[in-house]
Amino acid sequence: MFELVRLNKRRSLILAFIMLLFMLLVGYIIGGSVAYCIYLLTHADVLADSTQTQRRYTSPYQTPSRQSYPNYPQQNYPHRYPRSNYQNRYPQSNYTTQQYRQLTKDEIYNYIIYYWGPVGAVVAFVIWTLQMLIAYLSGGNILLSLSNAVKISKEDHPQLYNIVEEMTIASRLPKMPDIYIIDDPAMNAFATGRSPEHSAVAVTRGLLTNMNRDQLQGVIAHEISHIVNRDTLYMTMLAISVGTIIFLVYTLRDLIGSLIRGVAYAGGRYTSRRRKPEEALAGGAVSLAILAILIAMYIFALILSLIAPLVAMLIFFASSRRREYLADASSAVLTRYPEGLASALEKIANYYNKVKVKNVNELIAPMYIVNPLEANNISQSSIFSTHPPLDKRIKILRSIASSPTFSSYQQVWRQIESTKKPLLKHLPPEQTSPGRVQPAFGTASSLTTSSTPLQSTSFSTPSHIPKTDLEKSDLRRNARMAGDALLKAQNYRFYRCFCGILLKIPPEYKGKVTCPRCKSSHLIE
Amino acid sequence: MEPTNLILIGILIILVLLIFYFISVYNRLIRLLNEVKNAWAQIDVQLKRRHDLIPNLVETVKGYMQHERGTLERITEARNLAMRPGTVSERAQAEQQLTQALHNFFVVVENYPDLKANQNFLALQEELTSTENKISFARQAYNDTVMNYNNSIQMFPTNIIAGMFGFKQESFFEIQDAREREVPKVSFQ
Repeated sequence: MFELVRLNKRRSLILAFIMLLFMLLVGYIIGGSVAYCIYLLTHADVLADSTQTQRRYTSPYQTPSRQSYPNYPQQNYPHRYPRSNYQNRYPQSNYTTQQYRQLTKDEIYNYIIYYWGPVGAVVAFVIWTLQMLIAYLSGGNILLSLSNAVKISKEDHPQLYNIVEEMTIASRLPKMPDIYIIDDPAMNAFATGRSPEHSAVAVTRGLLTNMNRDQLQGVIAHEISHIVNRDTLYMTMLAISVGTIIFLVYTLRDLIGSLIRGVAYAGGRYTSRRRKPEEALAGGAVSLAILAILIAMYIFALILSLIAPLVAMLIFFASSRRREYLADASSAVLTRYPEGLASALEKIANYYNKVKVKNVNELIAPMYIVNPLEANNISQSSIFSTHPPLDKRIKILRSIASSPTFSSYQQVWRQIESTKKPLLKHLPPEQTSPGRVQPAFGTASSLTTSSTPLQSTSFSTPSHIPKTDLEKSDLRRNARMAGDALLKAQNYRFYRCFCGILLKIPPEYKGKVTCPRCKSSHLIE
Repeated sequence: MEPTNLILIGILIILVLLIFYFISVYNRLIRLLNEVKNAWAQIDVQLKRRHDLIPNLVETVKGYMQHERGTLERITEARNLAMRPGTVSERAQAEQQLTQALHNFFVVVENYPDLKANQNFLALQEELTSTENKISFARQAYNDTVMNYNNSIQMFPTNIIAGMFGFKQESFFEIQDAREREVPKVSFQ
């Protein structure tokens, strides 16, 4: 399992890096825009040529030069910064005039491009780092408390505890994750934690009451796979990047919005009063041209606040869907019993529209086994879905029932998605070891929940490997099973002849079939 | 600098890199080997747990199953046999018998509805079921670790280093009982 993570780390890292770069770009744009707006208000006459002749003195932050106001009382002028001793002692010195020299247009643009833009990017990075730190140190506690999850011990729910323990053993995690129960009638589950040592699995009460042991095991295996594949940390990181981008663009929008409102508001109010330099921004201080530029900036910010989160979310969703498929595949490999998860998903799909999970944050939705926010996720999924459609997931799982391995999962996945792209770039070495062990009571050991006698449940494990095939080499057997999985995905029906040979019937076929080995004929309805 | 010196320095650098590579490969092999050992120990932990559960089970069930003395005795016998020290294969065989005995027991239990209503028994049953599962999953995990280890021992160029330090292949856990491997025949009558 860990090989899986190591082999496919590069792709994930590239995606995370792109996301981070995008975030920094957004930070840069925002830093530049904010600086531009402020320069616009403080250096209006420089930036907008039309205002230059009409009004020389437009803002409190722009010091009038000595030439234009020769008699201006230097001492009374309210300086933005406290005057230094040097300035008090030598008011006429070159130093002071240079300090308050008016910036030229080029200088302003240079400041924006080389100074305020990078500052914005740095601010974005700092916000991201802080959030990341909080998320890392709290280790998913925020998430768990958000959803009102309660930590349980073995006495509270022995079966759940046992199942998690079983899956921990199967996945060779160094430490068993903490178990939480969410008191919610909806059926869902999620995993959190920055590393396997600090991980937790949360399950809703609805899931516990509705699932039998096998189904619960499938779901838990899916969640444990999220922990093993480090999806919890990875998706948290991506989610925080998305969150930071959204926060930044909304802040920009609101900031410019309030600037415009402030300007308009002040313009009406202070016109009749004697203006202090501080209030120069108000009143008629801002010309129509500047207001127009500000509004244009606002529209730009609006568009940015629509597009940037969209792009970020698309990256996020795409990787989330892939991770879900991966967790499904890992779950099948861990339990060696894909039917458990498949039937669990089916149950959730049927139950789905009736009860929904409460207290769900948009950004933690990918951590659930099915997205609690997407109501019609059962058969269709768009580029905006965090999870692949349930029916596809179920179909793939059912198709690989006879050979729960990564390679057959990938093969069926490719076919259903009709792509040539690999789900995993590097497949792990297949676990076709001669001693693959089916659990002793069968994985279908729903002794406590199912009413069927043990004999039938324990032998209905997916090990429908014909006896003759066992003697063949593993390689050939695997190839055959993968082929069968493909046929099953195309709704082929399988019949076993009395002589032991497996007949594969096309979905539409009806009539007589003659067994190629023993020549006995079968009637197919 | 003279060309001979340059060549010497180059050889030295390559040697140092090679040594580092050797060390890292050796450490990885040791880590994998330890994982295999640990996985093996995990199986024992679960088997031990099963042994501990059986007296409880027999005690709980005794009152209900007067007519099934034989089944219960077989379980106890198999357990005692499995707990005796012996060679690996002897113990494995005993464990196999215990598994078989438990199987039979749980089939028989289906005929005792009042036993199935007993909370104490249900809890024990869940524990035993889970322990059985844990044993199989521990074996599965063991086989996975063995495969990883064997793969790295056999693959080039690690196999050279493995050969130098005498790393040997580990064997997979295989089901001894051929019957358990067999797929049950379903008759169509």
